[in-house]
Amino acid sequence: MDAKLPASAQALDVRILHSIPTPVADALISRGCRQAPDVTPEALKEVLAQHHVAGLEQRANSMLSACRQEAAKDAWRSADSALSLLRKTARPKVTLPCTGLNQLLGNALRGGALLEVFGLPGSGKTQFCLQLCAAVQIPCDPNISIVEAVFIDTEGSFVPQRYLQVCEALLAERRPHLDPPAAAAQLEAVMRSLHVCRAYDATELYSTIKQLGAFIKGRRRPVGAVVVDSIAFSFRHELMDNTAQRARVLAEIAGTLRQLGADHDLLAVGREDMGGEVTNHMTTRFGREDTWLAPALGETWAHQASTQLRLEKMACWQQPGLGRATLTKSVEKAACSCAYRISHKGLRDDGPEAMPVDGGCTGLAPLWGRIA
Amino acid sequence: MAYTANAMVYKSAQGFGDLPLDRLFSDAPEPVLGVGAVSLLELLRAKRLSTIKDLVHLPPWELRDWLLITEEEAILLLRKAWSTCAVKPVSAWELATQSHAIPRSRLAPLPSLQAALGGTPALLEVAGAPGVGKTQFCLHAAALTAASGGEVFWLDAERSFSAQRLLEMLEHLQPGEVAMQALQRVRHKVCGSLQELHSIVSELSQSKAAAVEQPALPALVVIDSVAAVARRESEQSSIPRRQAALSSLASLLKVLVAPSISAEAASNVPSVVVTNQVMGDPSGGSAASTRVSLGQVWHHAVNWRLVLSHVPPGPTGPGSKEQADPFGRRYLLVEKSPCCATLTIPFNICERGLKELS
Repeated sequence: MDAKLPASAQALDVRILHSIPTPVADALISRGCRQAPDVTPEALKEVLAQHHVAGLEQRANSMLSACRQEAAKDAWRSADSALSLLRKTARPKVTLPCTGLNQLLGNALRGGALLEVFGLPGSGKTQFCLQLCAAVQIPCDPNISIVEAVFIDTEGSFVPQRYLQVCEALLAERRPHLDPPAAAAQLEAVMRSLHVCRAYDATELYSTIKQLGAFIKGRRRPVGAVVVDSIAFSFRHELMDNTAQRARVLAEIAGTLRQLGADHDLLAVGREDMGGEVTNHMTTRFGREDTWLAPALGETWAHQASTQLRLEKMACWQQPGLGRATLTKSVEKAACSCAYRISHKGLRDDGPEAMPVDGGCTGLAPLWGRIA
Repeated sequence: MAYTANAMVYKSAQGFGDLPLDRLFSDAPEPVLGVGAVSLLELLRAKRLSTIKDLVHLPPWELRDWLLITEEEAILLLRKAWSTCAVKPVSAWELATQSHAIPRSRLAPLPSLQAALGGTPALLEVAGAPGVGKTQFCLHAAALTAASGGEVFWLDAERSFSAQRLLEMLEHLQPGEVAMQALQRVRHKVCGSLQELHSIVSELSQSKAAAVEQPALPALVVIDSVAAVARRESEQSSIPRRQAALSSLASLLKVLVAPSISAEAASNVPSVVVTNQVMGDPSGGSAASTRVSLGQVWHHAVNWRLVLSHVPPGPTGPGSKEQADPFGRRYLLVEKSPCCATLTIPFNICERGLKELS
């Protein structure tokens, strides 16, 4: 049987076209132009004249060409096959210096992924972000040069001296044969190619993420990761009275980050791929009968990230810096957890490798740590 | 007065988003998309858009339907607003060299803490049980700052400020007339409500954004204590509102401590010390267990949390006065920090202020 799809790719309803404004689409339908191919220059001009649009000729032409372009897309033919996608993921991925976390996250550390990290205050979210940036910038393979990364800081928790410390330790581990002057030069190159954006409010955060595409395209070297630390802070007190707008802005941020990941996949050849990453706060929800801990920003946001990682500090006073990471949402893996230790070098292994969570499989729903 | 979430209260401090819309098109007198800039502005104003911020958050399809343009053209128009508000990326290298150039401020009373802080301006929270030395910590920090020539702004919510005690500490640092001059540099203001605190801090952070050449800001801002005002507030307003107000306050304080972009204003960055209280923790198990008040939203918002306690750090939290060491030995725990590991410093309080013990 011929794999030809019904002409649906062509016969798009005018109301769903991005290039036709809704009032114009309604007027076109009342004139009998129901689908994209029906739209004629005459009908469009007539409708625009009816709406008193300035610069009629020019506007009608640009709208018509945009509409034609949109209708000419063939969604079925241009789609990727699963095989080609599988081959794509055979590229090198980001390797953290902590094997437990590497196993836990697996393919979530590859290009185009959106990874969310959440946890209680002081559980190591910022340290995880710094470690991830360092791991992206300094690839394991010594033949690959330093990769660029973008760090969007909304909390003011980026301390350059700390990042220097983390990178120095990782360089010493991954490039042990460098002599001191060469290592210093490499360290400077790493620090120079991390771009930090300090966003003070939700408007700046949103605008910065929206303009990131242009910035990344303008870089000569590939950008390996975009880190947002944290997404929750500004939204804790802004756009509070307009929940619908807040949900839309958050969805738009997630969509833009995913888009950046996917676009970059096409550009990068055999290099580290893009991984968007955000951190989230953990908050206490007040229910009717009990209170529980949950990631901030609610259910709408929880859908956005394809991988969710929970960090928690272990209540162990003899061993400060010890924590546990739990995978709470993943496309590929069952829920499991591993221990990590935050040292002056960054995030490192501690204890046995990934093991199943107590109580077995918890399904797809994120684990809510219940307070007794 | 009930706390309301109006636009005035949650005004951002940096300001690009709050500029009126016509600033966006002032540089482009030529028509945009066949429409003159003036009529475009009128159209947007008719839809109740008045600031750049309103345009930034507008969905492209909505703008498309209003202006009868294609979505691509709408995105081009929105990009103008986005690029105005977007943050210019700065490389980590530049940040590191910049913070080296800032003169080291010496405000932490304990040498080990000073080493951990590294001398860069920061937002510090000091929490602890009553009588453990939170106000003493702040007084000592104020004395150190004033003695080194900096100005101090003390926002007092508990009426616990003592000029007498400050003078005693200052005289140990610099005896005689110099101490009196240093005392002149410490300004004290009583602050009754969260709303009032918010507007004072907002004023400070706006003067930071505006002033470029003259050092209009103090070198240290002390808020003693944020819990006192926030707890008074909670009787009148709901908890989510209070959380939002605290988060907003933290956001303004962070604008204050953020390093300046321009080199001339680099020395004009204050440090902020905020004190917080502790409360009984029913989930802690033992009857004596306590935890720091104001909840997790506030805990997320502060970058540094120092917990002062009478007992060595343990599973029961900061502990209370009844468990205190008879020799006045206390402990400072760096509980949350963006750059240093968990650290415990034993200290006691003498007439000079806080003194580190080995």
